[in-house]
Amino acid sequence: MRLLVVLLCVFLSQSFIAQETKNEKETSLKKSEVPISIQSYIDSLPTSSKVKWFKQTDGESETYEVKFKQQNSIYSLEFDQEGNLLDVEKVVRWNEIDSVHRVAITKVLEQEFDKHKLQKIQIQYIGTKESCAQVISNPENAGQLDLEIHYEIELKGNNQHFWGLYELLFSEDGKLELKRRIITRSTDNLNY
Amino acid sequence: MKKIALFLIISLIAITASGQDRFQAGFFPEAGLNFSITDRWMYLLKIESQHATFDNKLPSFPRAEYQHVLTDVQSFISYKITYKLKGAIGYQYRIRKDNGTHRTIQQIAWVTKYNNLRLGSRLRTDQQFSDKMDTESRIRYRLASNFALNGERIDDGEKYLLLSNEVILAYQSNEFRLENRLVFGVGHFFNDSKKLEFSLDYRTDPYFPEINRHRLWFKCSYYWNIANFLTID
Repeated sequence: MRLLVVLLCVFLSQSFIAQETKNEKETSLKKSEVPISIQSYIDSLPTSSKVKWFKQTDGESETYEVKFKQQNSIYSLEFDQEGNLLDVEKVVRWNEIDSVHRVAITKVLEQEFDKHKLQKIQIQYIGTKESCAQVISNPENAGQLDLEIHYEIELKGNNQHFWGLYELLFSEDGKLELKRRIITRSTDNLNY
Repeated sequence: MKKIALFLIISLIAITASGQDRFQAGFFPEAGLNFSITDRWMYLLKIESQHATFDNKLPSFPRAEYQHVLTDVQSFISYKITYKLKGAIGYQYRIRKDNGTHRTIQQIAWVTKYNNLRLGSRLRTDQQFSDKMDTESRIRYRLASNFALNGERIDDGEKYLLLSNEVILAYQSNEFRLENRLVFGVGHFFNDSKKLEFSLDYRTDPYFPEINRHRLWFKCSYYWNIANFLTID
């Protein structure tokens, strides 16, 4: 029994050693805790579901994220602390991407991975608040608006017989801009 | 949490005190230490211990009487088959007052993600050996999840809810026995390598032909993951 208590104390004492790692945090907010300019902008948009408000910090900077559903699509808007719109992301299906761009992206994926399976696809729009509001209201007009478009793809990829989770960012014409492996969290408390 | 625990104890005492059912309650501390040997191989050491304070079959009931029930020392070797599927084999030595038992363990575990919800599944078989009892073989399945209390994901320094249910089918001496374990609690996510959880673990068995044993454990669980303790090329 005494041994168990000692062991427990040893384990618990490790909790208080200072950590010097980057700390990303997401906090739920009430609407009233978000800058008025962001509230007004979101109020002007068509939203068919409850709006969720979040604050994200990485220890150095803070951004606000707003999520809602519109016409069966999930949108996520990111703002800086001053309320400036950074980007709009919309979850889409693979066949909602233009066929020419799908071909270009597929070519890159086949070069990067032995096998792959798409998990989540988002279109990212970067532009003025007005352009972004128009693409949320009428997504079919995206091509006519002054917007920078990217595709963010999350997939399971097989490289050298090992499956991992990856996130890739493509330009509108299918050029790979960023590839990173997603480090999945420790699951010891769920596995044992 | 304290009010819920008290309510559960009183309810269970009321249900079982006047009947023939066995009711036992107490404390269940456990701690797990795991580290990566390579990118795919991992080792886990776990110690868990049951300490009963209430037992309606003891003459002292309803007064509390301390009793060390058992202590398990478990050792696992785990292999990451894919990024979400792990296989493991393990060995457990159980320390009890009257005798010790040996257990061999085999399991596969996987985590499924639905949006921000992670569901952990664990399918395990084990075999328990003892000089004083017939070998017991079991097959068990557990579904577990953690729920963020703030935001859509659990971040460093945040608390979360945990919920799991495990069904265990045991075979010993030509008889089958079923056990159900329901766990509900709250955890603190220090960071990806350290988690502390407080929970209530409610166990019922044998189901064939009926439930006649109820056990309620107050669990305190600590998980410590040391990354890349030893790298073998």
